[in-house]
Amino acid sequence: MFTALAVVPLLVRTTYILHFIILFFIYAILSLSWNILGGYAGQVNLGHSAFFGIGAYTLGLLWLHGTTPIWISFVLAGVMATAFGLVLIPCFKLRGVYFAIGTLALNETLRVIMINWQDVTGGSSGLRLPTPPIGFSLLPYYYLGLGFFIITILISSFLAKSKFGLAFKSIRENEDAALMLGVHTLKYKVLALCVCAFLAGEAGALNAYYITYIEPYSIFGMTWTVCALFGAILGGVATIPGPIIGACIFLALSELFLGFAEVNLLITGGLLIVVMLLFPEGLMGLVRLRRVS
Amino acid sequence: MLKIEDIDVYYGQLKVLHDVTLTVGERELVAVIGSNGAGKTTLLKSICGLLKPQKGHIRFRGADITGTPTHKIVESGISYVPEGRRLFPYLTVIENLEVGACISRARKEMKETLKTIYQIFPILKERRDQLAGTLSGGEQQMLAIGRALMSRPELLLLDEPSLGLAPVVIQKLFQTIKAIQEEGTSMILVEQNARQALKICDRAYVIETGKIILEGAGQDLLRDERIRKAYLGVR
Amino acid sequence: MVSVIALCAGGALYVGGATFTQLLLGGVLVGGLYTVTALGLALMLGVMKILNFAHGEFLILAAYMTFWLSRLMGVDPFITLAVTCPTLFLFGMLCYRVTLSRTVRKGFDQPVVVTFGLMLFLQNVYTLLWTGNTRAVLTSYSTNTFIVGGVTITILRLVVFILSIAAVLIFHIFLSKAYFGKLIRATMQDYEVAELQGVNTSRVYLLAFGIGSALCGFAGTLISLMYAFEPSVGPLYLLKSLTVVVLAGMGSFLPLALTGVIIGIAESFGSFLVGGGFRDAIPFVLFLLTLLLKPKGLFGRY
Repeated sequence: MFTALAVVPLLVRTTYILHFIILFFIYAILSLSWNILGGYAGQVNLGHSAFFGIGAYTLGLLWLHGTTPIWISFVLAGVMATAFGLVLIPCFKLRGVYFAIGTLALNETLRVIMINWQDVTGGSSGLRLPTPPIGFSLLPYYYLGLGFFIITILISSFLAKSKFGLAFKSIRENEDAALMLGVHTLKYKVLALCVCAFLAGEAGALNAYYITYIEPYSIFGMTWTVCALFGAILGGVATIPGPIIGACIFLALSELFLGFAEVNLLITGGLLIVVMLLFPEGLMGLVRLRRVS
Repeated sequence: MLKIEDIDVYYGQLKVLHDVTLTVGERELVAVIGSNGAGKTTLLKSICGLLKPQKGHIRFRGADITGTPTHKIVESGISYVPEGRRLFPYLTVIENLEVGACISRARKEMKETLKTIYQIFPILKERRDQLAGTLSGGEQQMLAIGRALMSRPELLLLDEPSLGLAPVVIQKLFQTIKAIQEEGTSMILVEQNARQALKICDRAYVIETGKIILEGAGQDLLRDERIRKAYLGVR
Repeated sequence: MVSVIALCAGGALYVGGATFTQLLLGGVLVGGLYTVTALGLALMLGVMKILNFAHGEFLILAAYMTFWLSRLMGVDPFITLAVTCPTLFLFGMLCYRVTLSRTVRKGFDQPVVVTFGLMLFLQNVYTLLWTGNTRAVLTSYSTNTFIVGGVTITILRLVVFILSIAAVLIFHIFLSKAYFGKLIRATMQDYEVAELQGVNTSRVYLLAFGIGSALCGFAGTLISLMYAFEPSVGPLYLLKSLTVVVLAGMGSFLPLALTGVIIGIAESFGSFLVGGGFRDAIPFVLFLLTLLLKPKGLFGRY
């Protein structure tokens, strides 16, 4: 699949397709990163867009104020997102629903603060980042996105197959049992959180770099969290292909209903319900069932 | 009136009851004794629908109640006093009793039934506005039984009622159980306290690792050598 | 306790007596509304252990109903209560029956995602049907005030407060005296044993969800009178209600009255000190603090 993706821009000239795939990379990284904490470790995080937004703003601000080289900005974006992620650690004291609400609350608080912190974030008018000259090629963005995409998949696979993945799974299945078996649950949760935040931050940075416009109302908004959640759940939590497929579907839906964000979200909401009720394992779960029978 | 035919019950993948067959007749007090983990509570839970047998049938007064929802089984006349009493801790004594009369048939007769319960357990009348969680062990057991009786059952299932009670209280408890039987209620008494259970019962079953290994009249089993060695602590 | 009193005294000196009383009173009046708003959520959470992420959307539905009824038919908003409550009751039960009845008791994650999906769904239905424009319900008497001892009281707020307290009291009486109320409390404490007494717990869940939704209907109508609203405002009320619930702790419902008022007062003083834009962040902060410092709430049993 990677070779196919790598080769695509050399064959296809249609800007729209490249644009679609670049967005797909961003959405997929977002979903995959959520999957690490939410899917594998079972901690449903409803504040995912916080990481996304912080990554976006870190890159944006560093770029805007000129001095830092772009590569370092990208790294820093991930770092800053992770730093914020650490704020979430006290929330790990909470279980299940309460953790979810805690993350939601933090996200919304951050959003409100960011909207009101006009000098830094540009308030409701947002930040305009330097745009490349007309006639620029999408290729560098494409390969940048592809690169991050591959890295994310590699990290996810590595974690899933390693002993970390096992620890995550035990926490997801029964946290108390894991504790009693001597699994240092907090350590693993924090680890999942950090990776999750870092990657999501990178996705945010990518988004900022490509779209060259960020404003706090939307960048910290629910949509990104929904994207991540939907991707992972529809596709299949705790799998690698799952969030990728899910992100693809989410993107397809959003493009289909471009300009009709409400219909898009409405369908997303409805699908979430349907998926959870009928096949909680997501699409990957269905595939697995068919293989077994 | 109650017939359990060859049931298998599982906890997840684990088979806990194997081919269990058991009957209870009218006005009979049937005891089920066995050691910890033998499957006694599982048996009672299966009768009242909290667990569903994978194989076999349970019939009550001829009707097949296997797999029927619990509240319907209660409506048809079976009542269960769970292990550890499990009262509603933040409801008062009288509220616990009132909830016990939830089924429609009993609700109409609630006042009458309450009077009867207060006669059997006078202490409950005394403590009727007290929170159930603040009662002593013996009082809680009385309330648990009283609550189960509020639905005017024909068959009462008692799960280890003597657990955690002082010997003096246990004496009184078994006297009361016998009295309830004399009023016309059939009962299945599950007990680790084998001696007492065998003394007051009409018939008994012995269950071990999910299988019924012995069945007979209470007095006979009391004299049985194997039982005396295994469950009655006699050398 | 002493520190709280000292803080209050210090605050009074800082802002001046009249302003202090004004803020305090304003906070108390709003607090009543917050309590009744949180009641439905608390019921669902207590009985079914489900957090209804679409709670805000239920509230807003009632708000929209009041808006359209009063706008199109000239009905006084308070009269619309007779419509919004039953409608929300039925609507809630419908939602439950269609979606949640299958996920009850299946752990935490499933219901979370389902109600989250429901929230998304409803929020966008509203936007499609009624646009994202901000609405508010105004009446001829919306701005009437009267002055008592240097403190201005808006009559509307007072009426809302009284209605809220009445609702809370009626609900409390229902739970403690009515037979079905006792069944609900029993199911909350031990659903398995409740079933053993012949309680049809599935039906209790359905009706409890309905009652909770009806309470949302009540609160939603009142909210439409007090605040402007639009489809995306749902989550804000969800979090405010949640803060009230979490601060009170799970167990009984009466503490909600106290915590509702506390939140109201905190908001009142907070926005005075920190500025309007951040007003909505105050409940969040309180919420997080509570979860982290006293996760069982002030009066929690579970």
